[in-house]
Amino acid sequence: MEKNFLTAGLIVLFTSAVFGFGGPDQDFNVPHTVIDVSKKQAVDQTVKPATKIDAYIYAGDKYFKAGNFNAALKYYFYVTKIAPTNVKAWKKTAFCYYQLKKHNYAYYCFQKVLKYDPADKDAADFMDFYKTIMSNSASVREKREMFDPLWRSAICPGFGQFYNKQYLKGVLYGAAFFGALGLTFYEASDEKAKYSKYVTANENQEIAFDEAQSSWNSALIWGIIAGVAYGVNVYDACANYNSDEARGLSVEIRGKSVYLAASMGW
Amino acid sequence: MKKYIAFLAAIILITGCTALNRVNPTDPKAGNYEGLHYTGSIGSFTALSDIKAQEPNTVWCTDSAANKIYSFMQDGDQNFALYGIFTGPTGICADASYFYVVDMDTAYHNLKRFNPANPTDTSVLQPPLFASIALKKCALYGTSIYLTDSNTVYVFDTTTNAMTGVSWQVSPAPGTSITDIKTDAGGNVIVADSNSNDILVYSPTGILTSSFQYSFNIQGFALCGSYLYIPGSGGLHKINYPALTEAQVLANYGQGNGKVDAPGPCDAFADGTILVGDVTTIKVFAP
Repeated sequence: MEKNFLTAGLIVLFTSAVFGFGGPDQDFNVPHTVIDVSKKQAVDQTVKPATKIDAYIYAGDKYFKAGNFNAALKYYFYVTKIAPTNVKAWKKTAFCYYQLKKHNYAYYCFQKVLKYDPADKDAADFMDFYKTIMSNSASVREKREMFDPLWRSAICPGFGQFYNKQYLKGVLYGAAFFGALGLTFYEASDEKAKYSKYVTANENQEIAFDEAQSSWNSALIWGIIAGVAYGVNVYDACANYNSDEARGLSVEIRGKSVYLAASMGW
Repeated sequence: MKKYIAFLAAIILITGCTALNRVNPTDPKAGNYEGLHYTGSIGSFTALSDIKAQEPNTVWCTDSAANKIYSFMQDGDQNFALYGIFTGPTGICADASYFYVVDMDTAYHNLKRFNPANPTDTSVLQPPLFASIALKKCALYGTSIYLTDSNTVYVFDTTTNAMTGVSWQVSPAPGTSITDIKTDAGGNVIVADSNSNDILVYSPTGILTSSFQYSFNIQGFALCGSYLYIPGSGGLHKINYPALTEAQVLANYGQGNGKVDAPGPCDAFADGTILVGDVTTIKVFAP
């Protein structure tokens, strides 16, 4: 049932993953931007770079320095189309995407950089960042031990659910158990006082006894409820030790995109 | 699986909801029930001086300070209160036709007779009797009323409205102070003496047949079946009768009104209900 609720929140670590559900290939294979030729001309006329590629790179740099990454991206990306092996263009494109937080595009671009220049430090660092995420992804996918949530729930009802990242259930089990336990102690204490009163009473014994009996029954019922809550809590912690929620955040690489998703357990 | 869990929960619930142990000796449902328990009180008095239980369910009592006599039902409902004609009533007894009040009015009408159906009818008042005797208590057996002053028992015949001539001094005199008198089923007269703390049993003709001395002041006692009940500072003493040996001490347990902690007037119904005077009220103990 948790599955209905679990995947309710898909948190995209890399915002681009959300916006780029159409797939990065489409964008890279078919240029998604139109270069404003008049601007290119203007740049060419003022800077007069040695080559046309340098001119575009130079123009992109200007926008990049000004913080206009979208504009800079158009120039850098255009270079990658006309010179697919230009490491510098790929790298700058990657940085633009990085600044625009479109990390899946940036990831793809850094892959290109490393393809053409395996010694590029920036690209290598960026890829390390991804490898760390993927490593974490692998670790969260590792099979968990049932004993871990079990002993936690055995010690403190609800703790095992928290360990399984089923927070709402943890709160409910904890509240149910500790609430029932508190009422059990309260009623037991009340019963003790009332029974003591009954034992020493020499009048209205029946009323005193009925009051003590009532408190005893209440204590018993709350005790049973606490016991049942405890047992179900332990069982639930064990049963869900390897659930999707227990694995928590999942990082997925789909094609050339990296997605980080989280499910909310109930 | 759910069935097993539900079954287990039901078993726990059923076996768990067991009754607490009844261990109070004054609880009639307890295994260690001592045989008598407090059920409530009757009346409100200034100075209760005598109680008489008349079968099937009438309680007569006198208030020597308020100068009143009362008639109650056994459940505590008051039948009537009579006042304005007493100067310190100290004893009361009743038969099927009349009730008799021993009054401190030594000059006149110190034994007063009334019709319970019309208690304000003074035409049935006993003629002047015993003008020189300060009567204290009375007990009825058949047509005889046994009357006492501080140390002598007198016998009055209700058919002739005259003294029978039988009387005897209660030993050990002098210093005797009779506080209560009762008759048993055989007509024997039982007298309580608060000076010597004695229970003295006499034949109908005044021959002492047995006696027993207690360690506490005796202000009254009740005879019920084969037991005497004597209120004292340590509780309600249950005495084998006529053996006059102590069988048990009751009404001395726990906290509340169900405790007898002072000697006072006392009487009993045949069903075992004991009425114990406590100065301002009558405590009722039932089996």
